[in-house]
Amino acid sequence: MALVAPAQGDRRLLYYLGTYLQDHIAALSFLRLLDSISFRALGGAITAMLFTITFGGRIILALYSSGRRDKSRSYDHFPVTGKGATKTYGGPLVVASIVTSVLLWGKLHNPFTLICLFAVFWFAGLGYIDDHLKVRHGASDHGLSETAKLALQLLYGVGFGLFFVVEGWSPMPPGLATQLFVPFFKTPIIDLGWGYVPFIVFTVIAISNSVNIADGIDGLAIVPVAFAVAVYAVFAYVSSHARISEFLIFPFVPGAEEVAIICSIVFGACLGFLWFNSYPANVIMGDTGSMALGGLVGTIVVLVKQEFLFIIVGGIFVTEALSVVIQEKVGIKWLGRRFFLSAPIHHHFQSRGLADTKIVIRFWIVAGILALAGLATLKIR
Amino acid sequence: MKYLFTGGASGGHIYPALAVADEIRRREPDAEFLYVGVAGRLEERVVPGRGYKLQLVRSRPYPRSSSPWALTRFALTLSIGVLQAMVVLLRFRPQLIFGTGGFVSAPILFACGILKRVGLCRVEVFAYEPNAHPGLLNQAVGRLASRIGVGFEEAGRWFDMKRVAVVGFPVRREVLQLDRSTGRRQLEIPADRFVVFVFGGSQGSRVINRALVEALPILMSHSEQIVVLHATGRTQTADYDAVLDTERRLEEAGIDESSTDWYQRCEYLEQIEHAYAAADLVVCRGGMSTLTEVGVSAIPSIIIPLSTSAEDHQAINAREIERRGAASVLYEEACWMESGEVGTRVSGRRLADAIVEYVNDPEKAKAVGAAAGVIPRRDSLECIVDELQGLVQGRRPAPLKLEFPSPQTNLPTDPNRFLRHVRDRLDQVDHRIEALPDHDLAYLRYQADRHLASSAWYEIPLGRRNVGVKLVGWLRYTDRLDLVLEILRNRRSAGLVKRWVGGDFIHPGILRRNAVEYALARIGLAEGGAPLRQALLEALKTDPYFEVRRATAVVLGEQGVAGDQDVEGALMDALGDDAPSVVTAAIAALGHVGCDGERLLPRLRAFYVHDDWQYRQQTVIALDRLLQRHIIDGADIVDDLDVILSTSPNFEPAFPLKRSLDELATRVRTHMTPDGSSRAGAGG
Repeated sequence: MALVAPAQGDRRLLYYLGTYLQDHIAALSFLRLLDSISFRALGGAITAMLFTITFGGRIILALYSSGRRDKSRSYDHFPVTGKGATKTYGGPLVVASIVTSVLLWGKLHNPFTLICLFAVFWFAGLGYIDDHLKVRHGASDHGLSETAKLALQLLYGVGFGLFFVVEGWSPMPPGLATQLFVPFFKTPIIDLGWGYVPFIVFTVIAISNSVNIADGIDGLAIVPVAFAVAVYAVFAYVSSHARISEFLIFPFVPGAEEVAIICSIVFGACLGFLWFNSYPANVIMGDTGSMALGGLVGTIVVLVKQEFLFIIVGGIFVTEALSVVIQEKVGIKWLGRRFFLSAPIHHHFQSRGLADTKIVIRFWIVAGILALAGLATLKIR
Repeated sequence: MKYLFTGGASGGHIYPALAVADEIRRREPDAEFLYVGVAGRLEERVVPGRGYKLQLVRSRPYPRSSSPWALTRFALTLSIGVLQAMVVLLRFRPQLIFGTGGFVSAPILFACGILKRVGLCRVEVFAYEPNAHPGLLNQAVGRLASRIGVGFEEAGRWFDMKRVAVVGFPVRREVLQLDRSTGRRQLEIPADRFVVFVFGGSQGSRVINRALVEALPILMSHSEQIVVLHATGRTQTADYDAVLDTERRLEEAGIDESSTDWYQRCEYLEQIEHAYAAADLVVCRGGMSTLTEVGVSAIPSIIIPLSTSAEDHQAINAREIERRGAASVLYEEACWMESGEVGTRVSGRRLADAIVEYVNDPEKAKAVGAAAGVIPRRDSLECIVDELQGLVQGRRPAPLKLEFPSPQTNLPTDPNRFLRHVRDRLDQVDHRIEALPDHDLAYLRYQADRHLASSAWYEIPLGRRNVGVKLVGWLRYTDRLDLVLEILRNRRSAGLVKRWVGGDFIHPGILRRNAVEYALARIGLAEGGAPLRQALLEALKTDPYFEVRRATAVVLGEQGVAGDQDVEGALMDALGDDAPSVVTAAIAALGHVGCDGERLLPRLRAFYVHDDWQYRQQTVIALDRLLQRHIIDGADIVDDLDVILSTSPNFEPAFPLKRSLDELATRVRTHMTPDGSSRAGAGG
């Protein structure tokens, strides 16, 4: 029996196998399920989670033996949890599970999938170099320089921005790419035109760095990321669905369902990672993980056209990033004073005598509430 | 031959280049010259007058702040300058470039580097560095130059030694042909007097002029023996007029010039060589031309290095000469100026003492003068021009031989790195300041002064003054206690925008905190006495920045005398502070110095069920201390024990595996012999 060539536009591995089986074996016709977005989303999430949990232990050991360990900076005035067990940079674990699951469940020719995969690889690579330098120099202050990091993020932002805005390349329906949507408003408030490119650059850089900043205590960053992508999965699903998008008055973006699937895969990968990263962690994301996740979320936010929603859904990250900007740039550099005992803000709470677990769970609670608030903007607008 | 000269913005860069050009012109009358400079700088006034063609390019000094705006502006200007310089190089096609450093020479040298790289230009570059510490530009282009002429062989360490030639500094011929009796006759000074020649360069120096006027009344007692020749210089700027300011101060000091013969003042000496010839001692700045001229005259000198010189090269020059026993150095001190800013000065007392030491000890003066005479080359100019010709003909200089490591460590110029250097240095001597050699301590303390007086005092991050404040503490520089106290107390407010955003005074919060935490804490209440105690009490009560109040509470707790009513009262008041870290520090401090159990206990009881566990924690610790110090009795608080709320959102994690591993690690270290013999022994 010769393999049937897959129909144009359906080159995903499981789909490929599924169509083949359902065409030839009547008993397996339930594999039509593979056409269903919700099924693929669920499947992707579970695959990513199981992948992480199954291979996590082994990958962590392998990374540990290859020396990818955390050198935590010693602070004078408060204990750092790192004085416990030495932890491993587990970023590659998250990235591997996301990529594997996307390859299995995603439509690989879809521009949204390709952009997201590219974002993951770009930012993971960037973070990996940083981690690698830190490990090599044996100090957390000797990674990639801030300027180099920013330049690489900028490069991605500009490339992605141009790709997104230029008609013909853009995966968005004509005229939609440069419209700016804001939560609580039904219609786009302004067409930014070429100004949308710098806006995208800013969004991507801000989000990827804020996730990086928030990744300071075991489990602190990963759960809010999971919440955020869950919300964005819903939004992506809504705009990819002709009828629902019409009902909720969202722009209809054909093909955006792949973003929903990627979001749910990331959600699954986050849960799987939390398996190991929960306090006290035996593995931390490192820059590889936090950059990859941050870059991916930054990209998704733009693809779904809900950049401002991130201020609500990703409120934790926004707060963390703002606390650093206020403390370092405004406070120390300009005014010569501190506003927090220490920045980012989770260190402030540590200094104020809250245990790490307490801080992390409180942040989760806030992140959960913010995610719900974000979801509410589906209807309240 | 075509020669291109570049370098400038200051005389130290321009005059040697011109001297070399003159010498080449004397030897090769048909040589072509071009001088490349920057518009509006000294070279624009000087160079055409000496008969050389001048081309202008753009450049600007490397910004000493890390503000991105300044850096961008610098990069843009320099890029334009480099392009202009490329055009100049391609049109003039020189065979030799003589660069004396300074930002003015940057465009030509960088352009030359680029053109050489792409093969559009074949030119030999001779970089000249007269100072003991190379400027930024020469550090950068050192590898580009085919040969580097240095004034001090110490500077050779910064470059590839195979290409370094020690050439000294070109001296004017007039200075070389000195005659003491002619000099004295010209200046009408009797032969038996000790002549002190005081000058701060052609422009004059505010610090030296003021220091001298302050020193004169003290020197009066030696007026029979000495003659002071004072060249004030020609500075006439809005905030300093050398002549008028000196006259006013002389009047205030009660010195009547017309009736004294031992003090002679002038604005400027046209023939300075007569003064050198006549002098027995020179008080001067640390620039290379002055030092060389003083050196060839073989007179002892008191060098007062300019603390704001680029990379502090004057102090490094001075130190290099001091190391060879050829001069004494008086460093500038930081102080409050009349304008309300921090500036520098040299006290008249110190200057007078240094002068009198030479007056009273002619033997020393002779020895120092002799040592000074050995240092500079007298044939520097010929030497440079010979090197230039050798370079064109492809001759190599004899390689420089220096002892390694350097007998005198080169101190880092970056403020933060310097701070680390000092810390390491102090760690080596267990923070016993006395163990440091005197001249090193003086130099380190001068660095504290220099940073305190730096105009870049809210420079990012945290500024140089911040480094000065820390140094004052580490070096226990009690002479600067007043200045640091003033930083703490000064209430001049910051700009409106800053205040609106949360800033307060012109000395930012972190600086004031460091003043307490580093400087005042280390100098100590015992040493600092009443003013220090008063300033701390004041800061604890009124400072708007919480970190200052916290640091103050900590210092009062650690160093306060138990039973000091004021301290205890202030700490009690601090218990009502808004900032938690201040309150916890105050509770802890009261545990150390509190004596009034009657009043203290009710205040502490208020914290027993406080929402913030850190308050309760400090209260418990403080109660424990008070018990140990017998301020309170066990019976007073025995009933309180189960009142104190002990739940807390904090705990310390324990990792049994990590603990066992640590135990193993310590045991491994104690059971380790260098060659593993214990294992071999067990086996055998």
